[in-house]
Amino acid sequence: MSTPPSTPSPSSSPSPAPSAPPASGAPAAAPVHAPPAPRSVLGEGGASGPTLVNKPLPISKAGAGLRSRIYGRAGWAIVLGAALVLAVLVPVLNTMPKAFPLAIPDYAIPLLGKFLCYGMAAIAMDLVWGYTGILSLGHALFFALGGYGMGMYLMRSIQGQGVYRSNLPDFMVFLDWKELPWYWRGFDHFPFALAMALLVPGLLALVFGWFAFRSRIKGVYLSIVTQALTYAAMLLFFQNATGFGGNNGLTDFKRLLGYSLQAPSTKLFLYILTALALTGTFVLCRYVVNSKLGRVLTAVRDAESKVRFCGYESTHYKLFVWTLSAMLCALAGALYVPQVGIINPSEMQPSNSIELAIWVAVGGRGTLIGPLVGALLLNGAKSWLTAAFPSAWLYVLGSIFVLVTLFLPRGVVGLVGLVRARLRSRATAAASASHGGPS
Amino acid sequence: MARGWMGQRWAWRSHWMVAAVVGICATLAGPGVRVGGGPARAAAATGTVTATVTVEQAIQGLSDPSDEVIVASIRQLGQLEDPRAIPVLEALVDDRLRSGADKRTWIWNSKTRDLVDPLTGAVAGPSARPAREVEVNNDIRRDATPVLAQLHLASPDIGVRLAAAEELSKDNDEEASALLHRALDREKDDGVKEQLALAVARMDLSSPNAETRLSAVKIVHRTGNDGFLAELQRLVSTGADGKAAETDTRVRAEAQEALNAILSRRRLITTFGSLLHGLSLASVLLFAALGLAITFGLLGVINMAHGEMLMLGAYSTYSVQVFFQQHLPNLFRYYVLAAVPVAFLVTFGVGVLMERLIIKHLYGRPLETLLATWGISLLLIQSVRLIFGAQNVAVANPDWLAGGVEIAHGLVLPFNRIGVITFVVMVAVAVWVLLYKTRIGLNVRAMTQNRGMAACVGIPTDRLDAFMFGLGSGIAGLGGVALSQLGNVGPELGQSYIIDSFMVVVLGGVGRLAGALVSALGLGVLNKLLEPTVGAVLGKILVLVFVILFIQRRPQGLFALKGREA
Amino acid sequence: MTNGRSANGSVPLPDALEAAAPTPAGAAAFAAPPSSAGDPPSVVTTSAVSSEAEALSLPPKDVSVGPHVALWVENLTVSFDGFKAIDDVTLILDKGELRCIIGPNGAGKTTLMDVITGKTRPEKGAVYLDSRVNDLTTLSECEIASLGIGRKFQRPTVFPNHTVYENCELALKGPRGVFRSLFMRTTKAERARIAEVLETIGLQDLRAQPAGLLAHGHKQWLEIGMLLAMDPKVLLIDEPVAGMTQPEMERTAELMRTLAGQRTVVVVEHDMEFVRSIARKVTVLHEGRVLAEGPMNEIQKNPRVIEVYLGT
Repeated sequence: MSTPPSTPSPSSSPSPAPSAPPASGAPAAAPVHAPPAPRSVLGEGGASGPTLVNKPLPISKAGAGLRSRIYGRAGWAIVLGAALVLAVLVPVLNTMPKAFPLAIPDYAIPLLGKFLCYGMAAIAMDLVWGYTGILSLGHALFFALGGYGMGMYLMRSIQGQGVYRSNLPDFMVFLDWKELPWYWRGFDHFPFALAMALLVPGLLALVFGWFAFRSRIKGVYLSIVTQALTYAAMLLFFQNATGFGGNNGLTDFKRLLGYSLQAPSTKLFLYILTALALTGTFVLCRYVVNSKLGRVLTAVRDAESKVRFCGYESTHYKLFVWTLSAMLCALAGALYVPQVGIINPSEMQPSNSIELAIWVAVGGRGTLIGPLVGALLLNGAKSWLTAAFPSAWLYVLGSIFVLVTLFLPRGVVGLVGLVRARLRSRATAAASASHGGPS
Repeated sequence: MARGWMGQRWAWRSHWMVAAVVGICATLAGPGVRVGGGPARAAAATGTVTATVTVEQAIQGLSDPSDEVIVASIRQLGQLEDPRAIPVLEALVDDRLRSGADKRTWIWNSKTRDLVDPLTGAVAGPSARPAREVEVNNDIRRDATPVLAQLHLASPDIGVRLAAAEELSKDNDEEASALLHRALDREKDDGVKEQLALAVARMDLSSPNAETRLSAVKIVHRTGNDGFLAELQRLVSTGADGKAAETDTRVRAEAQEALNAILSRRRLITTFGSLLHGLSLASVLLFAALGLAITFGLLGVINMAHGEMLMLGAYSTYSVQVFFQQHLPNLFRYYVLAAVPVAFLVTFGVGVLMERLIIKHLYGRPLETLLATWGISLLLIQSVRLIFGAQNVAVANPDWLAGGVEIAHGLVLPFNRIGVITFVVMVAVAVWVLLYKTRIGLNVRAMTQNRGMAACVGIPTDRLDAFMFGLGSGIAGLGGVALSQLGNVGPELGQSYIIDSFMVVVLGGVGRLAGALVSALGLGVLNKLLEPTVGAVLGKILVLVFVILFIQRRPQGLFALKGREA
Repeated sequence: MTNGRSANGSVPLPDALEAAAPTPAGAAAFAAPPSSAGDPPSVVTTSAVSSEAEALSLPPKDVSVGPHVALWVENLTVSFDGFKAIDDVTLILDKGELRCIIGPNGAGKTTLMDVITGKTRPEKGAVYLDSRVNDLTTLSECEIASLGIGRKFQRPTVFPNHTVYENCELALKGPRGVFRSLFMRTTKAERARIAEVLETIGLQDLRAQPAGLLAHGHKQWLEIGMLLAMDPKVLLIDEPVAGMTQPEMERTAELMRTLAGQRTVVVVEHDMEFVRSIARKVTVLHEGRVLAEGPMNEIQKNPRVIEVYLGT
């Protein structure tokens, strides 16, 4: 039997025979027989070879079949470094005096926070789409519900200080309601509100998923049904009678846990919280996809009936990742609302969910880092374009949809991997050419 | 309303007083004082009406300077019941009566600007001018109107009699009641009789006599006229003091039954109306769903831009309308007929382009197709916004589609909806013929079932793909034409139909056109039937939830392809 | 050598089998007379009784199916839209048996496997595993798989984006729960087992290769390896050598032989050479019914089988 190589990577699986390269993250210990794979230090993604099948993307590189626990040393370094940049460097730059060349202006902080929330949602979406093959066109519903949960807390925290100086939120007074509906009770306590913001979307996801996966709805049918679900919810929330502010939604927030929402320090705090949550989400998702559960999920994506023949109850696995993803989206939504100051039913519209899908597609499905990149890129582009050339944004977005699906099925991350592989093969070719030399 | 009754009473009193004064003066003034004006004046002086006054004389009296004479003449005309008096009385009420320089009564014709003879209609000679307007005060008008109505009641024209009956029924006095009763006895025509009976009944409802009231309610019940709703409700109501408005139990019971009958009839009509509305909604859905059933059901392509095909069809219609308005205004009413092929060709072309350029490369990847077509829909919407503006544009119904036919009281079938339903039936039949009776249809069906084999036997699968996609889009374009005639046209038109169309296809089952048909009908009608009860939004939500739950039980839809492969 | 039940329902003891084999009467007893359609297949008895033509009634329908029976398909009928894909088929497999099922296309071989593994539901009939009472046709695919029935499909189905090692790891017998998968780490014993499987199928050098990049023959072996990792009691193998070269076929035949014994193996194949090289007992299906059953040489001489399938 082969002995494990002395690599420091926290790998749970044994080292393969010397012919295979060791686990990702560690330097290559032995000459490889298998073709060298582009070593993305984050351990994921990249175009290691031809697309194997249309839908799924290669998630394990040729040559590194044994997944490490979460990251190798270099991987952790990158992740922690990025987290430091986001959660520490940016705030520091923000608190610098404005004259400082790299200082980040105050208005950019909530904007960045918003983008990071979108990034969280995109990572959550990647879990169900990139890794499990479920294209949900209603994921923004969970995002919005989490936002509403937080919004309800924020509305209750200003009771007595609204326009109408009443214990009830302004819009209820406006609608001539006399008392708080039962489902608003308890939302003046932050822990309860936060719990509800996560549990209600989770429960909805659980129930919907149980019905849907149990009846083996998949593929485009599932996508259509999720779209219908979010559309129906949007219609429901647009009604004043539903009790969530109708088409105005919940807004006019003033305070969070006693701190004013307008104060730059609060905004900075929220931003840091978001950055940390994003890092946490990222690490959590990475853990999930690297575990055996993650491998089962990708197997479900690639060949569900085979997975079932191997004895796995695929419905349970799908349900788990679906609910987890929904709750992560809800968390993102809950962090989003205090930073943008408003939540209304248009957050639930189907086009929001479809945009979420395109962020993931642009970045690179099944890579976790890709969706984050995609979300940041596209939202940045949207912010810039809608300010500079307003009517151009929809053209750009529409074209991106078409071009990415046609020409860039593996997204930006895939493109990067492709380029690196090209460069590497060119380098090795050049090296061997120079080695060979004349005669 | 005791208005006329009171007015007349005063006229009587004043007549008496005037007569008394004149009589006294005449007696005191001696035989030198003569009351002029002929028999009419004599009648006025004595306060009695003699039957020997002729129509001509009464008409003459209408232009008398004295109000009393006018009023007396009116009453005489009423007594005489000669329908020839109708024009002159109408002119009186319209302020068109003139007193000529020859002291004769003339009617002023405002159209020809002539003075005409009240009886013959002959144009007056120059001797009549200048003519003085006969001043009509409210008293006179109050007297003239019921007499006019009474004369109308005796008119040979059924329509006139009907109108008069309705008019009189609004007066709640005994004179009117007597008039109506008399007219009712004399009436031969059933329709007018019915109307008169109703008019009588209306007044009898407030009669102090319980028997009269009962028979009145019975008449109302029999005719089922829902104009009496308010009265019936009053009859069955209880006042604020807890006492019933109607004391007689039989009357109350009869009124309750009549009320129930009227209300249930109303409900029936509303339901039928909703059904019809639902049918026309179903027609639009069917257009969208037929196209989608072809592209998704037969080709396996999810086209999120399908709603935009509807929109493009609607905008093509708008463009054709503008073109006709500017260049062919005489033929404007036919613009819809021209719009049909234009919309079809435009959307067919767009569909073929989409297929050739984009979708062809994505076959076998339905989720990517979904995203790519969503992108295309964004591009289409934005382009339309830039070209036509972001606001809704107005598309008018041509005259033969405007208006409607009233098939029952309160229920109007709009022509445009009927037109849409007819249109969709034609198109559905055409599609069925194409798919099941032509060679192309055979090829397409073969392709759907086994693409490889179809290609092997020489079916040009590539070209057929493009053709079918174009066809599906074209049908949606025709749906857009229909939509333009039914409602507003704006860039976001397609968005509101896309989810519904998908629901239709998902519910109906993939691969069968019959499924699309049945589920379009079902969903459209269900939607509209729910609307009055739970409101449009909640109705839509319920329909969506229903479809989602139905799919749980039967994931393959209503009419799915059976067998091992399905 | 076939096992079977004797006419009176008692289970013959192994030594009785050994003893009975060489006698001519016994040999004659091994001949399986062609059964006409609809009749239950006559099961060969090993007791030297002149009852070779005695059509056995079906085993009594009670719990004690007997410890020697691995799989019992009883009066199975499957129809699709009126077309009978399987028509009243009864099949009894003994533990450790290597059975080949052959028959022309459309005979119902793959459908039979579909029903056993739970992919298709029959119209009538039942399938029992071991001596269990529960009817497999009422269970779901994963339940059936966890009970110990493994299947290798006609077209090699491996997980293309997972490496060979990961494929085996996924198939490895063990807890299948969601939370176990989330938190558990592969134990040393499990790793050893996977390595063992890889060695058996000869793919240990390719353990880090994504399975989608494997050659066709290697994919077939990987799939068999996954089956081994599942450690099933009954293996259903659908056309294992389709598209293989001669040396690959020989290796596969060897693999099949080693598999049987500890497990029950059912192989569906068209390649007669291959069948001959591995078969002990063969069942011939035709138009959804069992046409004949018995050792290969007998089947090959069976006139009806020749007429229907093997040709001249």
